[in-house]
Amino acid sequence: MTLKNSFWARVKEDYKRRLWLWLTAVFMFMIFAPLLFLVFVASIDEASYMQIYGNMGPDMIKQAVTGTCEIMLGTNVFKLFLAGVFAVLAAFSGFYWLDDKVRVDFYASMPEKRNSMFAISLLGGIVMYISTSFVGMLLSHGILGAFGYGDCYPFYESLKSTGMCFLFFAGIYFVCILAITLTGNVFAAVCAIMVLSCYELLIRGIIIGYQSMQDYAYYMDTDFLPEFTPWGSFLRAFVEETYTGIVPDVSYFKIIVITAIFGALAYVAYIKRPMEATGKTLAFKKMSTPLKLLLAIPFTVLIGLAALAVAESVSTKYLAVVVIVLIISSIIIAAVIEAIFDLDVKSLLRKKLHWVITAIVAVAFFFVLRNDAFGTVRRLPDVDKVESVAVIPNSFMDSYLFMTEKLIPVDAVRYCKDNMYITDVEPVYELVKLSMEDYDSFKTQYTDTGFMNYNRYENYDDAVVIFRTKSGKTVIKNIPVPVESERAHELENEIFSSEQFTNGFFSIKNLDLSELISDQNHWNEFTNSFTSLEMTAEEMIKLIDCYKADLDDFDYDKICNEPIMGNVYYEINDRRGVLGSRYISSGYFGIYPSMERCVSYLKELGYETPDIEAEDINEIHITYNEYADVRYNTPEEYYNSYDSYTNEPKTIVYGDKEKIEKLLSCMTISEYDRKWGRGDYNDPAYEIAAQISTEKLYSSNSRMMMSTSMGHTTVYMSFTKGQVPDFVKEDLGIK
Amino acid sequence: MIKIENVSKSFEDIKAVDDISVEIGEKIVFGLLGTNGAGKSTLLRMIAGILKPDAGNISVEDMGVFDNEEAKKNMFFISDSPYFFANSNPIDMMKYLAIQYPQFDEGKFKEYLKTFDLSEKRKIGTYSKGMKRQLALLLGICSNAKYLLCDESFDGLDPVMRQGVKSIFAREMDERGLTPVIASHNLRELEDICDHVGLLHKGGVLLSKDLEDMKLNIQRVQCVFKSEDEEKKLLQMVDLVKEEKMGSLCTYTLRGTRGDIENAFDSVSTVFYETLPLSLEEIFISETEVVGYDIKKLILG
Repeated sequence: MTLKNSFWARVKEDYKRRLWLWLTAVFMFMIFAPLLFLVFVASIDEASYMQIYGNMGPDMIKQAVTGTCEIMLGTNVFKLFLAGVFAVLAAFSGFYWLDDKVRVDFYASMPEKRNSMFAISLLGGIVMYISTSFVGMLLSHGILGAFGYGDCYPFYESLKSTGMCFLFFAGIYFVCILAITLTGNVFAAVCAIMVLSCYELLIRGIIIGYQSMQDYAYYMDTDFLPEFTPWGSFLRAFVEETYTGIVPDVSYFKIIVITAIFGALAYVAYIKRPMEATGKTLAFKKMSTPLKLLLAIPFTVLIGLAALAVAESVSTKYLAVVVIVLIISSIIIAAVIEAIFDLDVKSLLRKKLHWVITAIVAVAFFFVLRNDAFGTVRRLPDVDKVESVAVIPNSFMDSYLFMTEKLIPVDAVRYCKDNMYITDVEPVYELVKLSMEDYDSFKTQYTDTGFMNYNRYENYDDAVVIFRTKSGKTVIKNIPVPVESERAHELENEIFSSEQFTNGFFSIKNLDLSELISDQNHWNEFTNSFTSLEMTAEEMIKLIDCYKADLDDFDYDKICNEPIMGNVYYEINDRRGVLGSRYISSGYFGIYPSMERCVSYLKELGYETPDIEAEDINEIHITYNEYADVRYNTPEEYYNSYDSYTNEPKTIVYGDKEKIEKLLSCMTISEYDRKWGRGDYNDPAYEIAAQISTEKLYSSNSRMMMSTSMGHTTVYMSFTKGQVPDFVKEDLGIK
Repeated sequence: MIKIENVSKSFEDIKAVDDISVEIGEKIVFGLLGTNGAGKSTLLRMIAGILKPDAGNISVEDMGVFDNEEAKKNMFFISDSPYFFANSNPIDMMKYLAIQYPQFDEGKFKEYLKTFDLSEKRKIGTYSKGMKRQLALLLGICSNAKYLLCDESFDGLDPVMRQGVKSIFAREMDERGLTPVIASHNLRELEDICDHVGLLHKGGVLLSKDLEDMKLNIQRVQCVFKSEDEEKKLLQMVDLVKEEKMGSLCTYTLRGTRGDIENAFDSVSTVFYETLPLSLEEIFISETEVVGYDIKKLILG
């Protein structure tokens, strides 16, 4: 076969006809990045770096070049954006002829098989992207090498990034081709691109939106992300990379599979596409009705979600209101979609059957989702099918800093999802079932949502429970655990004191921070209301080791029954941060009297437990805030509670040594210490300011936290919950 | 041979082609006549393999057409709005088509360009509408495809050009068996160029006949009979297509050869009779009236 009638001759001819696209690719991927590189590396003034940073100069230059390499050669949003833009251009230039009758008559009459035509147009875009981006990458590395910075960024990383960007390009390219082949005009093609890209997001949003209104529902931020679209699979891979520092192999696999599926769909649509579809909205007429309904119904259900959220808060007969809104919106949406499909306003009133179907199905979906008709939200996996669980008590200690091994901050649920594997699932199941039964019964007592939520906050503490089944499925539930239940307390003690819990919950236990604790000791300290004990990096590392050892003997029940001693704050630096800059973060953890090793080491460092006596205190000022103490027993009381917020706080001053002595026996230091599942340890309604003589508290390695004046220091303290002396209540006039 | 068997094609609710069966032989100029919307373009686009028939079969040289590279090499389709690449000149188009049609005769094309005074290097975008049609026809002829499918390609061509193309057709038909299939809504456009005409109406074929056969097999005779009995006697012997009377002067359109019809008139007593010439239009009018259509409305406008 001669070149003249061969496939490649046709490919060459295709390139000739799309020369402008070649030039665009050359500029975007072959000239733009290398040119910027050239300008950047040529402008590096090594002498200035040496002058400013001295011996650190070469390191700083390397850091700067590496940072630029990460932008220009790594996988990042900018490169993906360029790849995406080029994918759209390539798809439209290669396949837009399908939307033009004159060109359809010309190309489709040529003696060329459809699959060959598809392959040529497809290959054109791919070859343009791959060749120019690869050459651009080589040029960039060439420039780096020529200026002596060849070792600043590994070639393998560039190659990997080029591959990733290509996959992204291919995904967007296939989506666009599929959109063009499924439609018959440019407006419809653009709409189809949007639908193909965002439909999954819409459906996920609707389902999660409705589920979030259910008890026991929990969703992670990543649940919203689409998984079955090219950009969605990429986003998920990036989220994984953000959390773990690497893109897992399974993410690569998913990206490749999803890209391939869209490619295959584009091919089939192209081959099957009737050429008379040119100019129409949809190429395949049979798709028309299902597609209209598949668009109209979710949008209607989405409006139902918004209506539900609004109506629930303003009307007791909200369901009737929402159904009316659903019916009206279904008609409007179905009519608008009809008009868009026909590109004719007159079509608004056509296909009234679609209105009816949309309304019926949307209302049905609304009730199914709103009432969790299939019980998906409250259903727990069978206990014998569960491999392990993770329990995350919300707002519990150590929640300030959850970090992955790569020092990437993550939220508690995400951290525990990846790190906590409790295999003794029975106590967790018992706690969950007990809590659900308790909460189901609690809910039946209330008809008023606002008042119920108020009581919920008072009576329950939420825990997120992650169930991992043996088949690899992950189910997450939000469980309100009753704070007053003795059995719940026993189960909490059992679960939270287990090694598997502490290993999976206290992130500091799994981190080796020895090289990262900051040398700047002003952030490494142990503090409470009385003291601030500054520590060197070495001391902090040793204290953290003590803390890890104490966590091995962690006893949740003990922690719940003792006041906090204070918190340890620490700062960490990491030079592996973005663009080579220092990544700085900080964390804290609470120290309790039962943590013997920590307490012992703090004493070794000079910490002394404040031993305050009545003679050391000049006066004690007690302020009572009614709003933090009052309990409302009826919805009326709750809704008329404005008074308790506006009442002036009541204050009383004690100078009498006898009363001060009694008060001292009931007071602890004022540190935030909410014991999960057991509520506050200290009584939040009382603020206590004790004026203590300064001499008593100064020592060689501790300093007073509060300002000193007139020979005393004011220290803020609290009453332990339930320990407020009766005379205080009487003096304040509290009933 | 192009064989069209029971082909139908609908566009949503509109039946564009309805169960058509036609055969297009070789070395003839086949005219496809019909009003706007009669289904000419749809049929041509199906023959060219652009559209897939909903039902029926179209084959060229015994090969199915749709998505068949080999079958399509035998055909070149010229649409009513020929497409040329943006900023291209005739040579660019020639190079592209030479890849698609390996048998493309580049030398002949350049020669024809000179003959028709079309510049090789001039951008096609600057050509007039007529020049673009000329170019499209020349590209189609030089593709050396056996069947040249022309959708309204002759409408608006000047007489000189028509004559030029006609002579090229004649030469190509003679040399390599070219078979042009020309669709038009105007009978007068086809009259001087076609050998065979297929008349389409509302998606169906009203008739498909060889023009010469049509001309030889239909006659018009004016006569005055000596008596009514003589007239009745004649009408029993001939195949009457149409009859007009003005007093005793009768004008008949009759199917049959001139000899047969004159023999019939000779056998009855007439005051006089005279055979009159029929134009193609009149032949069509007569033929279509038989099947109940008024061709004046259909074709002649």
